[in-house]
Amino acid sequence: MTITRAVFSAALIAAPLTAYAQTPNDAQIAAIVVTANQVDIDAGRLAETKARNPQVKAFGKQMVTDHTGVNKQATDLVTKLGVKPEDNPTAQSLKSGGEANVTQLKSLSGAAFDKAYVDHEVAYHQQVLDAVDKTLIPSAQNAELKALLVKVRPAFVAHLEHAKHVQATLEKSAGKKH
Amino acid sequence: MPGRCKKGGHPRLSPFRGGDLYVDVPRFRSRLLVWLSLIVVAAAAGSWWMLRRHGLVSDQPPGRLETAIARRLVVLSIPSSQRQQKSPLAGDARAWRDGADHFQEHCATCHGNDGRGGSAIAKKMFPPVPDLADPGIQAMSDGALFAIISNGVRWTGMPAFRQEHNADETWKLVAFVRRVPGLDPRELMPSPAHQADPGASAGAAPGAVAMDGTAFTPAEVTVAVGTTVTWTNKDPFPHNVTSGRGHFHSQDVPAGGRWAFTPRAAGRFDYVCTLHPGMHGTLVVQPKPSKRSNE
Repeated sequence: MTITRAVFSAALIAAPLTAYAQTPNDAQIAAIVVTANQVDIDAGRLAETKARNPQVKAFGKQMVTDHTGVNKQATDLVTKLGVKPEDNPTAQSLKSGGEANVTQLKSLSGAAFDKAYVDHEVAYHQQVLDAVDKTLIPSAQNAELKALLVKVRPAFVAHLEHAKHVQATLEKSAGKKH
Repeated sequence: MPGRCKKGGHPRLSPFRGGDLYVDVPRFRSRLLVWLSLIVVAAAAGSWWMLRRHGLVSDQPPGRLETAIARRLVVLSIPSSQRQQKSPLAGDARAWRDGADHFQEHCATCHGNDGRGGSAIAKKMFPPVPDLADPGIQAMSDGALFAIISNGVRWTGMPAFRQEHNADETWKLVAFVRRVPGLDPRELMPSPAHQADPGASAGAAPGAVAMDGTAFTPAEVTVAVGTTVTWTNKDPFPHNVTSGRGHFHSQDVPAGGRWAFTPRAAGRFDYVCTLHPGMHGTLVVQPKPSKRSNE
């Protein structure tokens, strides 16, 4: 009983501490947001020109438009707040992951490109949503920065749903051909 | 023609101006032809010059002569039997009040709330929307006004409403037009009957929906038939408004943009943003009880 309670108390203290160790500050959050959007814009640009399926093409175009809009608002806010985005491991890994994805996509064409792009969009939006929910929103100190994250979050959920829908359509049409 | 020359007589002479001046008929005819041709050519040249100078711009007011001719033509185009029609509501002192409610909902967009043509688009149309208090308009008979509202006026912005209105509604509008010159703006406050009507009071407040945070807020909005609903995009990326049953569809509305829609039929319409799955709303359109009783 005592041991259980001791372990429980330790866990209660340890959990916030570990979270604190990973907590990015507002300047780092700004860098993560801008990088995350830019990565999706770059992939979307490629899809706009390379995708074969019109739905994939339209989705890529929308990603460019939506994430450019979010980035503009984020940049405007950061400028207004006088925060200078600060590079950090999370932003760096997002960036290198995005570059690897673009390199791989460039080597593909046709249906293989469409599938690889959409599969990555599903996984990527899931990953970004996790980060928004578990790290970025809880860590943001400035109320306006937090509000911006809360405001754009539903769009990322919609993008994930949209990407899953396109993925299902591609699978269905691929199934018909084989 | 009096005094016309007999066949085989002297060169054909014709009395002119009371018979003191004789004119050679073929020469007169050819001169007349020349003059008429010159007039036609001059009119064509003048029209061409005006067309080149002003193009077909619609925000230049017509001259007084043009207005007078056009108004005369409008009246002349109405059969005299219609012009002489008498309003069955002539003795009804309250008729204009019902007309005013209708006018403000449907006519004020162009004519302005008080009928004086002060709307945002009135002066930018050609011909411009007339001031209904203008003596030229008030000089028209009740029957002529009735005919204009019913049949519209070709080459102007005035539509024909005979499909939508019954005679009673149109006569009430005529009564309102008659009231315009002496109208006190305070009289245009909604009548008590109008306020008591929930559908109509909802109609007084236009519907407004925000597209914010990838959601329609409020998710459900209720308006009366004929009330404009405006969607304003407060997100930094485009959204659209697309109803499931295809009743209405906006193009993509850019960040900061807005789109307005005026429902013409009652019903419950679910709609979505096709760009963002999960973003949906409902537009409830209620019929207008006050109008129904007339139809």
